[in-house]
Amino acid sequence: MNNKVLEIWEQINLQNEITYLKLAFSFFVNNEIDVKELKEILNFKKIELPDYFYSLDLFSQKKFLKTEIYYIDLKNDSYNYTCKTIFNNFYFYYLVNKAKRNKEYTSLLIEYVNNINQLNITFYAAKFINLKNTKLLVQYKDIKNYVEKNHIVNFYDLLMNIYVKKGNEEIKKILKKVLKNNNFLYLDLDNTFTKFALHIECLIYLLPTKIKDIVKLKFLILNKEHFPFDKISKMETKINVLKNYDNYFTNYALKQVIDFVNKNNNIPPNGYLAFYYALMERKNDELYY
Amino acid sequence: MMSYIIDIETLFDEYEKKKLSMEDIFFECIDLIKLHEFNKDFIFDLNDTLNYRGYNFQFLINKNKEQFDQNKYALLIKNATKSLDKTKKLIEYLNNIQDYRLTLASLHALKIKFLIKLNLLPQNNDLLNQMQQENYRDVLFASYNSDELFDIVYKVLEKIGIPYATLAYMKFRIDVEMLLWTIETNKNNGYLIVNAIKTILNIAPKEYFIRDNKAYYASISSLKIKNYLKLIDKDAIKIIKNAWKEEFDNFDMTGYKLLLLLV
Repeated sequence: MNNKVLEIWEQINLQNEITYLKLAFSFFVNNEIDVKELKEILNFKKIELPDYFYSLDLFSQKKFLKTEIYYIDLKNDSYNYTCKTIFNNFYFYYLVNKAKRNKEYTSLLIEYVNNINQLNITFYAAKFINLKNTKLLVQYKDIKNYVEKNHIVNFYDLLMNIYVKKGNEEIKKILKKVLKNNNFLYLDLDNTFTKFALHIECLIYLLPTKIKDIVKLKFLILNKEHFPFDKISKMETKINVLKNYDNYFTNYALKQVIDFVNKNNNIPPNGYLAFYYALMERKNDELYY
Repeated sequence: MMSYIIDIETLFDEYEKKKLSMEDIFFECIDLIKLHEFNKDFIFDLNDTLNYRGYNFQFLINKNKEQFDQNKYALLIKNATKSLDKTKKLIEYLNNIQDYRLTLASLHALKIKFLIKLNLLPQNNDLLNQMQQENYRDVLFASYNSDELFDIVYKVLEKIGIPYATLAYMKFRIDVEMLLWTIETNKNNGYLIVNAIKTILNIAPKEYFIRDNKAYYASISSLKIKNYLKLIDKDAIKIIKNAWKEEFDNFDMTGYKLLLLLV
């Protein structure tokens, strides 16, 4: 172990695991340590990077844990900047794995997803938020009772239970309020695009579990980079045999979405819209509108 | 590619050899940008290098663009095909707005003979001389089948409001625009359907197709959009999908990308 590595370890060893990982990487991106030294530092906390990391080229290695981009607005005498949080596959699933049985990491996951601020990611991440690891069940007795009565485990299932299965209206009201405040996953259910995305998520929820994510990948609601790397090639082969997904929707369910879209014109191009138009083509003759 | 006072890649190799910190590199970049007088192409290339090498900052490129004015545009595009002067002014406007969507919506108003007179196309090209009465939109997309003409004709886009026309993400969008054009070749007033598709899929704002209170797009239900997309040439779809297979996922979601998902 060289002095540089020791110095860095002394600076960061008291941090929690994920912060330690991020800081170690920042020294690497900062050209202060090389890959060997990075590996040594991570070994102290028994943090393992996947094997394929070591066969990447240097620049791809540096980008491996990139979770933020700073946009600099440079003027003659000064500069301002804004920071955008981006989805990073390794970081996201690292948090997901730790969050399974851990309240602190569940909070960190929620914070990360809120900072990314993209609906498709928010809905996807909701599946990985175990309600027992959040303050929701403590702060809202009504939600706790509802969740226990209906054997609901994660937040996505709670959302779908309310909106697809037309669960309790009171719980719906509480949820809407919770989702707008700062202590939980952020969703503004008064926003047009959010409402549209939720409509489509509700349709997707009606699909068999094994094709839900395939449909999301096919219509680019989520991209390859959002799914675990080891599952991608299997998912891609399944896209080619995906058919008859529209059979799972009643005309009533589709009409709800059509009515919504007819009243709200300016939905920007996105995967949810692609899926919607694909469904419209297949169901065209059957629908009364 | 412009030649700069320094070679960016070589410079960054040196920075990394010297193990400069990201903060140091950041301040070096600021000096470089000032040295190049905030040149947009330079900042673009610098950002490319920063991204490629794993640094997590990018410099915004200030675009001093004019705001779209529906009335002004309507006046400029009216009869542009009949006048060299109006063509020149329309092109100037497209360069000031620098919105690729507006340029692509205006190509039909540019006559080949005026583009030659304005030196945007060569004067001594026999093929082009035969097509003087044609409009640029038709010639551009027809030239996809012509090895001889394609590069010459395509490059005009860089001078009429799409300076980054040869970059992959923009080439992709223009290729999908070509697919829409195949509807125009097969159907009378096909351009009205094309414009309608563009407004439904948010490829371009409605305002770009409304002039003097008249809407230059067909009234079609968004529910039936896939029926209209079926009018696109099937062989052309195969070619374009194949050409962009590898890079497709990396492009931002635009109406063009949405269109290709639907066909």
